[in-house]
Formats: sequence, C-alpha cells, structure tokens
Amino acid sequence: MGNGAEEIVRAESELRSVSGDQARNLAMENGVRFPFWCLATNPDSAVETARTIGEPVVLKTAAADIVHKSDAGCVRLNLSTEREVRKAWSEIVGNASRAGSTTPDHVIVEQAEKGIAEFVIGLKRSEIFGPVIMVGVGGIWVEVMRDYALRLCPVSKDEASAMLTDLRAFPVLAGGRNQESCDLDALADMIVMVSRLGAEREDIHELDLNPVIAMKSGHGAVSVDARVVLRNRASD
Amino acid sequence: MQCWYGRADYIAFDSPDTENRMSAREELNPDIERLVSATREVLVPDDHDSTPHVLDHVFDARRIAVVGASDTPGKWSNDLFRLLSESFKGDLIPVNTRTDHVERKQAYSSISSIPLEVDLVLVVVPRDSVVNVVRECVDNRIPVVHVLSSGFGEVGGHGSELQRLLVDTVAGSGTALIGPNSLGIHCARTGMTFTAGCRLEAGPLTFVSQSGGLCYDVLVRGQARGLKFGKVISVGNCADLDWPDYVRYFSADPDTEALALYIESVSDGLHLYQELREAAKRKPVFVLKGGKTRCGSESVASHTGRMAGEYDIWQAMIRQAGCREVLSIDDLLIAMEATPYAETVPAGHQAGHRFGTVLIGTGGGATVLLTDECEEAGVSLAPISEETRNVFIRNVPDAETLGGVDNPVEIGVDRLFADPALLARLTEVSCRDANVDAVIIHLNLTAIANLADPLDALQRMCDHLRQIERNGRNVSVVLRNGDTADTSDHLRRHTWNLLHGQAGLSVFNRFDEALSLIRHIETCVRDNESKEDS
Repeated sequence: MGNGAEEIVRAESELRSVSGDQARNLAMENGVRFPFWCLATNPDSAVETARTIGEPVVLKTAAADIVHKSDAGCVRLNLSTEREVRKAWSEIVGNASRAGSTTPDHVIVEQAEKGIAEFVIGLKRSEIFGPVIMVGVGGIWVEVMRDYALRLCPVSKDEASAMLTDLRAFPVLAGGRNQESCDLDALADMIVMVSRLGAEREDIHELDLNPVIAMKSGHGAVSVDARVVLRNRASD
Repeated sequence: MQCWYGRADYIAFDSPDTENRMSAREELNPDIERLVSATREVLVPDDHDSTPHVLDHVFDARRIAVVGASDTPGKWSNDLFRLLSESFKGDLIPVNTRTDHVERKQAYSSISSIPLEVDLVLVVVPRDSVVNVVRECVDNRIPVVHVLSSGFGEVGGHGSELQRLLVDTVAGSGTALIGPNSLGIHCARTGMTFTAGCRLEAGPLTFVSQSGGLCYDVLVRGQARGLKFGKVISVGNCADLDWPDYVRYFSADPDTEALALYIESVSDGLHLYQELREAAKRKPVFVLKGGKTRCGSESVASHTGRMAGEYDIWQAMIRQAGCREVLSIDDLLIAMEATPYAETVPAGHQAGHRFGTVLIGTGGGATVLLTDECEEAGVSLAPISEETRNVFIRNVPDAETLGGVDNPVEIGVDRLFADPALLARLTEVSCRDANVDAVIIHLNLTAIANLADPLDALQRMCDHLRQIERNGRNVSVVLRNGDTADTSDHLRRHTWNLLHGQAGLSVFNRFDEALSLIRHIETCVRDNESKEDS
C-alpha cells in the first residue's frame, strides 16, 4: 500500500490540463463527433471562421488554465453578426486575462448545435480499478440529481446501452411521456469510444465531454466541449 | 446431497408431544429438495477448474501444525488448540519450544523437526516472531502458512514493515500465506473452526471476509436462519493470497454453490473484477462492501472526477461483474435465502410482467398497513386470477365484510384455527396462479398465544402447510409480535421450527425482511433474464 499521502501529493503535481483544442483533437481522433469548430487567435480570424461555418456560432476560450469557462465569463452563445462575434471575442479574451490565463487569446469558434437533451460523458482513473467511464444527464442534473451511471473501461456496446437504461431519466430520454427519443444508439457509440480511449491511454487522468448534445433518434450526438487532464507517466 | 438452506437442527423441546411430532426430523422437506436440485442444475458449471489450487491444502487439510499452541489454560493459543483438537478430523500437531505436550499431544520444537508431511501451518505466535516462523515454513516447503497473529499492516508503522517482510519472505517460494490478522477458518469438511459457538455443518454456502468478527455474525445468524455455510474464511490483511485468489478458488470449488464476500479493500481491483466476473458466470456472488465513503476525487477539474467517488465505482464494478451488492449482514443472509427461488419461480415471466405477491393474514389494520408497506417497498400485489378469487370466496365467506375478497386476503384468527387446512388451501391456490410469484402470510403470534392450546393449533395448521405444492414459489411467514418479550420464547421457537423446519417456509419476525426477500428474488429473476438475453 505504501506511503499513501506522499504518493498522492506527488501524483497531484504530475497532473496537467490540456488546452481545449488539444482535448477536442484527442477525442475526435478517437471517433467522437464535434460540430464544426476552429481555433481563432485574433478577432479577424474569428469573424472569418464564423462566416465559413455559418452563423449562429458559439465562442469559448480554449485556455487550458481556465477550469470553469462559463463562471469565468469565457463562453458566448448564439452569435449571429460580425459585431457580436468581435464583441464576444474581446470579452472572452479580457475575462480570460483577468482570470490569469497564460493563453487568453486562444478562442474556439464553433457551430451552434441544438439537440433535445444534454449529457456528460467522462472518464476518471480510479486508484483501485483503473479507468472508469461515466455517463450522466445534463451538467446540472448529473450533479444535483446524481443521475449517472459508471462502468470500468472498456465497455461493449451492450454495456454502454445498459448504462443509459440505468439512468433514472431513461424513460424520458427513450421517448416516454410524449417526448421525442434521443439518439441512444449514437450516445452508446460515443460511450464505447471514450471507454476504449480510457483503457488505451494510461496517461488520461480525467476526461469530460460536457455537454454532449443528443439529437432525436437517428440524428446522432455531438460533444460541444472537451476537457482532458493528463498525468505524466511514472517513467517520464 | 447438501442442502442449500435446509432446516436448522431442531432445538430440543420439553414437551413429549412435540418430540413425537418431530420424529420425521431426518426427512427433508420435499419442496426444498426440489428447489435445491433445480438450483444445482443451473448453477453447477460445465467445466470445473480442475487445476489444483494451493487452497486445496487448506480446505482439504489432513495434517495441520499449530505454531505457538500453548498448554496454558486461559491463553487464546490454548483455547484455539483445544477447540481444534476437539473438532479437526485430521492430524493436529502442536509446535512449542517450551513444552513437550500440548493438550496431551506431543509437541515439536520446530517445523523442521516434524517428521510428517504438513499441509497447513497455523501461526499464533506473538507478532515479532511471525517472520521467523514463516521463513521456517518456506524452508520446509509447507504449502500454506496461515498467520492469525495481528499487529501488522492494520496498525501501520512497524507493523507495516513487518508485513512487507512477510511478503518478501514468501515471494517466489512454494509457500502461500493467508493473513496476517486473521480469525481463522471454519470448514465442515475437515472440522476446522474458530468458534465453539457454531455448528460445523456441511453446506453449499461460502463466506469470505476481510473482517474476522463478521465471520461470527454470518455463521451465527445464518445458522439461526437455517443457512448452511460449509466454508467460512477470515482472510485478514491479504498480504500474499489476495481477493482474486480467493474468488478464483471458490468459483471453481464444487462445494460452493453461492459465494458471499465482505470486502474492505483490495490491492489489484481490476484483477478482482475479472475474477468476480468469471465467478458470477458460475454461481451467485454477493458482495458486502465495507467503508462506503463517497469521498470526492482528488481533482475537481472535471464532472466525472467530482461525481464518481470510490464507493460509486465499487458499486458499478460489482454490478458490471454480474455480482449482487448487499448492504448489511441481514441483507446478505436474506439475499442468500432468496436466490434459489429465482431459479424455481415459474418461467411465465415474459418481459414486462410484474412480479406479483399475494398477501394473506390476520388482523385488519395490520393488513392495511402491510399493503401500504408493500407499495412503498415496490413489491406489487398480484392481480389474482378468477380461479384463485373463487377459491378465496369459497373459503373465506365472511371476507366481504372484512374488506373484500381479493388480494390482500384477510382471515380472522378464530377461523384460521377452526379450519386448520384453510391457510394451506389459500396458499396452494395462490401458488398455482400464473400471476402469483410469491406469497406472504402474516400471523399475530400474540393472538395465537391466547388460544387454548397454541402448540397443537399450530401443529395442525402446519401439517397441512407442509403438504402443499408450492410450484417453486417462496412462501414467507411474518410472525408479527414474534420478537416481543410477552410472546414466550418457547412458542416463538416452536412456531419457527414448524413453519421453517417442517414446512420449508421462510419465516421472519419483521415484515420488511419478507419484503426484502421478495425484492431479492425479483431482482435475481431480472438479472437471470438479462443474462439470458445477452
């Protein structure tokens, strides 16, 4: 069991968050879908990108050192004009600077997505069991209602589907009470991909896809934000 | 054949009348017999792991040496040796440097001076001498050394250092180590035990515990419920042999038909998960996790990190492995009692069918409250068939005035005993009903005590109950007021022995225990269905 306290302190110091664009690239390389997005480091390129992908767009900081983007005022939604994009860009950069970010001008411009339900899909490395995958309903619901399901990685498609049925909100998500059913199949696929990533990449300490937006059945699911904490390997 | 949860041995009664009626004590209740054989067919795996396992030396031990066995009465190492010398069926050898004999058995001064082959060495010497004894075991190629002495990793500091020394000593050798800090082993087959307070009885249940004290709880309370634990092992600190080894062994062990584990911690969680997953394919595995702190994660950077505490992960792991989590010792015992019924309950459970229970009892208010309790516990009352309702109406003609003839069904105590076959008829027709999966009977034991001859009345009722065909359903009897002081202990035990011992029904003092049993059966049925699906 060793000298617990000392080891944990050492392990903590080896953790580091990666930037938003790196986190997205890691997830995308492993099959996770995102809306069209691009990193913009000046207002002109933000406007250019917005024009290319089509309004409305979302701007959010890509800085690795901003943990709570919304709380820090580093997310702006539903931007439809050049003026709005420029204003949002400078607000986000200003707020990120004030929050002490070393890369305040790294901003992601992303196509706005509308779905019918939001989820969190995440990874965590347990000291005892290794990588663990979680799926929960919407950012607030997962924390307040504790409506989430866990499994050790990797999971099969069947197990991923079982995780979704474990959710208390499942009857609603599956189209009960005159609701439209979410694309549970696409969500299960995303769970499987993330769980494989957890099993393969020992240096991933934590990963959050939050929120994941599910469209109605047959129309897929996309992650609109990613956060990754890496841990340096013992041999590094 | 061993009985999953046959009758507890009868307690001797002073009444000669009672004793006469108990003469059929050797015959096993036919329903239980059927139930058990059905269970076996499903549970016994096709391919037993036939590789000899080091733990065979423990559970089939023919010769045991006890290092530190004392001849001084009053010492624990003397109590233990005396206990073993009375119960162990094989050869027991004391090892003691200071005396020639312990309990009239010739003592040896060291392991190497024993001229015979030893399967297992028990170590009960003071902590600081343990490492030397273990080294001697390694040198003498003893298959297993079981360290009961405490004061190691569990106390930290120097104890942890000594534990590391123990691990180093056996590492790479042919000697495996159980413990340290272990209470011992209870094994009916060899007669090993750690307590004089429990019977050594063969049985298909195994309990593996990281707490020594809980071994007593499970044995004593389990035996009181008629559950037969053939093997119980206190694994202590798991310094060498660890959870994956124990799970693997009992998964392959043909004597073990159901496995219960009390786990506090494990060093290789993933390995444990893999072994649990394999074991759960072969037999029911129940896990009671000690230390349920939901302590948040070390990092707060992500939702996942914040949400998934270690206990949450344990819970998920237990489920994912196909095992069942239980929440207390009582829950564990009830779950084990419930499990065979999940195999025998009729297969009419097409998906979506709600598991239905019939509630039969005496006492109007009690029936109302218990119906509410069913509702709150998520146990649904079965919509009984027309045939069942007709039998109810024929048999309980005054029931209309007592609130209707349906489920729950209500009987007056006087009527119940005026017609000793009444309860059996109602129960039997319920067990024939395709909508019914279980029956709960509740009786007010205080009202029964008021009868002129309660023992005789109960006996006659039970004579009918024991003959009914239950078609694989569980029938539970709740003895209301059965645990209160004014109900004589004698009556309570007698009733228990009749209903459980003779009639093979599950008997509880509290209603919530019966509901818990039914929920366990239902969960188990569902789990089995989903296993078949996948």
